Amino acid sequence: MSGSRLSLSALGRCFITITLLVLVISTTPIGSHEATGGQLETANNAVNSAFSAIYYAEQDGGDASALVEKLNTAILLIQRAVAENATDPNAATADLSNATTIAQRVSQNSSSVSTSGLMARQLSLYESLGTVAAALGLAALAYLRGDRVYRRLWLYVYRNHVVKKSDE
Amino acid sequence: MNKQTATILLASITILIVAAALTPLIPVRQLKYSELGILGPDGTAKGYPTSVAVNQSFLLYGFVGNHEGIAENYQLLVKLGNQTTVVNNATYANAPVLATFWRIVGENQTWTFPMNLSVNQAGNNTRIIFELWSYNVPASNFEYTGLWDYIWLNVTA
Repeated sequence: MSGSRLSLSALGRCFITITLLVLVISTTPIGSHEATGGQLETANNAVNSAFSAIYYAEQDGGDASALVEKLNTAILLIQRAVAENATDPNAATADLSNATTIAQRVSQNSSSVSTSGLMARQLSLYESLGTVAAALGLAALAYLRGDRVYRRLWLYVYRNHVVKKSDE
Repeated sequence: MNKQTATILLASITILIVAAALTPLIPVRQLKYSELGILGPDGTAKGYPTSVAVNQSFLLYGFVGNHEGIAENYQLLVKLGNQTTVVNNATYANAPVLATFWRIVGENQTWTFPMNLSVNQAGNNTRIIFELWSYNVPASNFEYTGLWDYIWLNVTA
């Protein structure tokens, strides 16, 4: 009797285990390597976020042309992933991952482009203001001391000049 | 040269130098715009297909120019419309998207690209609509630029 109960209990456990296994397998996504919509959205968001960083870096006067090219590479990878997702999901997943990485790098690098742009703009401002100050200073000097400087210069240039009468 | 003439000359030269030095600091106001063009299979504005079979691939080229003063994140949406599809500079077509082309175009640069398209349903006077969208950074989404183009197609079964 007890042996029969035991065997029934074992059978029941076995049944429950198999049911659980089936449930676990059925709830696991089929083809876990397939590129999901979430991965695509992540890659798209990463590219758009990187573009925003480039946009602000350019507004700060930075030259972001190299970053634009890199970001276009990421876009190409996303488009390739979308095209190949049905035939080669593993490659699509890898492409989306690479695109996200590239976009994140672009975002990081754009801050240095922004900084260099701001510095270049500041340098240009200082150069202009320096030129204006120097021009005004020299003009004031020329106005106030110009006569004396001119006379001294004239005397220096013609120090050996002998004036001869034209009728001699 | 008398003192008065010298003073005027000195002032003129000073004004010229100051103006030249300040020129880079003055923002230049330029007309900002984007360009959209659809080219035929040979890359010129001719030879557009007028009739194709269902699912038959046909080639067109897209042309986008950026003169917005800054890099732009463009998407060209190809939509399948018909005679009743409403599309204009303010309203984008409420129609299914056949294909999307996406690229970031630098300032004063152009983007020419092939578009291999096909239509999966038959119909006379099918309109292939091309819309240019660009990414609005502050709003964080793509917005219709108001630039669009189209070709008419008879799609035979």
